[in-house]
Amino acid sequence: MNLQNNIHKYKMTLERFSQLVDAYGSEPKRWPLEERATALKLLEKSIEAHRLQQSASNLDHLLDSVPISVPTAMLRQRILAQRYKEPVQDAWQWFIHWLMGTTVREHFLRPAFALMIPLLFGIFLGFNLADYPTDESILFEEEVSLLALYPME
Amino acid sequence: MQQIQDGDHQAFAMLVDRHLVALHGFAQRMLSNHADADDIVQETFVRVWQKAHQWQPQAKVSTWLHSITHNLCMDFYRRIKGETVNITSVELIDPHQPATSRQQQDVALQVQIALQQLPETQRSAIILCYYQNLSNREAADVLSISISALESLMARGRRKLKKILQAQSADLLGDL
Repeated sequence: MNLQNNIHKYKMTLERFSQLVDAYGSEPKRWPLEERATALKLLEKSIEAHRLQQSASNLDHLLDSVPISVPTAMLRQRILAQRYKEPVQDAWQWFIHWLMGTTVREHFLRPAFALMIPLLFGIFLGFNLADYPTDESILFEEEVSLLALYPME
Repeated sequence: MQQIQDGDHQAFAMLVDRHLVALHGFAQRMLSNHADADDIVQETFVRVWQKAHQWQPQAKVSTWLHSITHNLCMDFYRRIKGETVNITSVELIDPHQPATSRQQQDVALQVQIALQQLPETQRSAIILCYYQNLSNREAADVLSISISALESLMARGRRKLKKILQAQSADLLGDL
């Protein structure tokens, strides 16, 4: 029923028929299903449509002359054997694969975790540098002690 | 496909048996080389196994498989881009198949060479619709284009094929 409705939607003109055979060739089985019936009707009554079809059929015969290929049994075996092998990944590919994760949750959490590492390192470094003595008098004493070559008390 | 997504090896073997001939024919017609076509088809099925979870139930399996093979063929073309295309290296699709006559074999070879001279998109469109018997909607989906763009590609491709074949040998091919 749907097909019948679709067929009525398409009005076949000689111009459209020409486009059809230009694109799909002369064989009605290759024409779009929804336009096939109307195209065949036009073909029955139009000499020009018949001429267009004949013209396209010459190229079709040539295209049909190329024989079909048959894959070897060895190829099938190769395919079935190959699927068990895990893809070889280098370190970078492994890291990216790990970073992106496999679930939606991991897609967000892992990159966030990776970004947290330099941030935490920066905070750690910042706190440690803050503990370093900045009092100028102590620094001066240390310098004098070093120059005098004896330990500071 | 759902079974393959669950890691069912038997279902995968059935999928290979069902689609191997069609995909191999597609790759061979795209590349005109047995060894390259074998590699492309093998890689197609490896990807299917590894990325089965990416298949959407609303997509037709054969269309999805053709898309993967087509993308791999496009990658292949990109890799060899810049290399001189040697049309004498074009192989007859099945050299072991007995040709009914020397002339028929020559014609088949000339058609294959002419197909290789088409731009990749035009060649893909013709092969998908003409040889692979995909519907216009399916072929357009594989190429990620509209149906009108597909028809335009096929019409231009067929016109160019005619020109090439006529130029190659008017006597052999007659009046196109």
